[in-house]
Amino acid sequence: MSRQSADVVGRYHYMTIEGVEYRVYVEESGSGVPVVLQHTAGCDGRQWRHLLEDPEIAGQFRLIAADLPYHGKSLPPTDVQWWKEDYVLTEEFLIEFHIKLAEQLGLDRPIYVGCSMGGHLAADLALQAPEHYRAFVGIEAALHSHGMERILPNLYHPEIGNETKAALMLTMCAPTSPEQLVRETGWVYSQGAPGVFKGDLEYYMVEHDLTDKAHTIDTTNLGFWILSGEYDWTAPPTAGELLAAEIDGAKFVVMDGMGHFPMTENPEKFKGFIVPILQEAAALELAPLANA
Amino acid sequence: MEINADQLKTALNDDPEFRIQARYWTTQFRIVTDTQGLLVKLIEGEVVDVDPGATPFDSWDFQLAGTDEQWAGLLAPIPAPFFQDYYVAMLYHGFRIEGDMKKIMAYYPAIRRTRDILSGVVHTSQAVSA
Repeated sequence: MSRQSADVVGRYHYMTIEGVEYRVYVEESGSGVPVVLQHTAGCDGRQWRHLLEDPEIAGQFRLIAADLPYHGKSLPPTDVQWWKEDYVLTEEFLIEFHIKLAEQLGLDRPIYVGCSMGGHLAADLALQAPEHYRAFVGIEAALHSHGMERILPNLYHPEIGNETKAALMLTMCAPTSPEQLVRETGWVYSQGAPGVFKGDLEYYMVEHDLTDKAHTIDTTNLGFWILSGEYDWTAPPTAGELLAAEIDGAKFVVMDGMGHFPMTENPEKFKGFIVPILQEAAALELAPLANA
Repeated sequence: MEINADQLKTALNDDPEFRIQARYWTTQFRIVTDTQGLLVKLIEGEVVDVDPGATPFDSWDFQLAGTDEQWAGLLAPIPAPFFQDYYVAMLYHGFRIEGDMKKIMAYYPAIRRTRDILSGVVHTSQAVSA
């Protein structure tokens, strides 16, 4: 029988971040321990559609995928003249966004899962807001992603189109990932507002740096996993391993035959990595918070 | 490894994705291996010539240059990690993408596709000669 509808629902939430009200699009599916899913730079929550539509995963977890402001269906705010300024994403904004998202949705210590920029944020959240979560999964996470900053002007240039972003993303996928899904990965990138990818990368490539701080992440009352794709050239397994080595209690997994976008380029294979981690994270027996 | 110039010209012009991504493109670029220097000329998105005997006196807008070992890694049917694209091979293996980087980036969707096409050309040639 052909499919008729997916058990995924979307809703707009009004959220105030750094004093500005945003209309934020959030998709959800499933029930169980909540899992907040953070998309990559310049992209949106569609990246998580395969997880959200998977009955095995949705049967165990409440999956939540938001489009950050300026991404996907989350339009720019109506009371800011955003067209007069360069869009730049900051760590401070991301952390406030996620704390308020969890509060607004009434989530009790969810599992946080983020990829790439979202992977970097896993470690930043674990450092700055650990009490809000039960576990963090940083996919393609690293201590930092410095060294390629000079590419940034080429990612928001009047003579370079959005197809270039898509093409670059194709190069980060594993050659064995299904072609149709690799192309879908690129398609979503080609649809981002022109300046947003570069603005997100200001956080990913420039601001994020836990070289001197990662060792202070305390995992005694939370779980922490780092997953790296074998073919990911922007955050290679060696970078994930360096981050894992700094965090006592962190678990590190190399995903063979995978690139930078496991949840979109090869979701079936990704399930084999992420489901056991989510199950282990959900089963963690956490000590009550001191101020609870 | 031998890149057949005539086969490359035909394969580029016959590839639907390359033709779409090379639209409006007038350029001249080199493909350089240990033993070959090919000059690929495009006018308005069509490959009009692949000259197998590029010389130092020919002008070019950009070049894709590597050793035979680097090219073999890039053109493998299933490339090993960090050989899956020119860009990553440049960052990790010393492959060279040289020229005006802004123009290279603008047409990177087409340039990226040439790796797939070259892989097909090289492996078809090898299969025929075996």
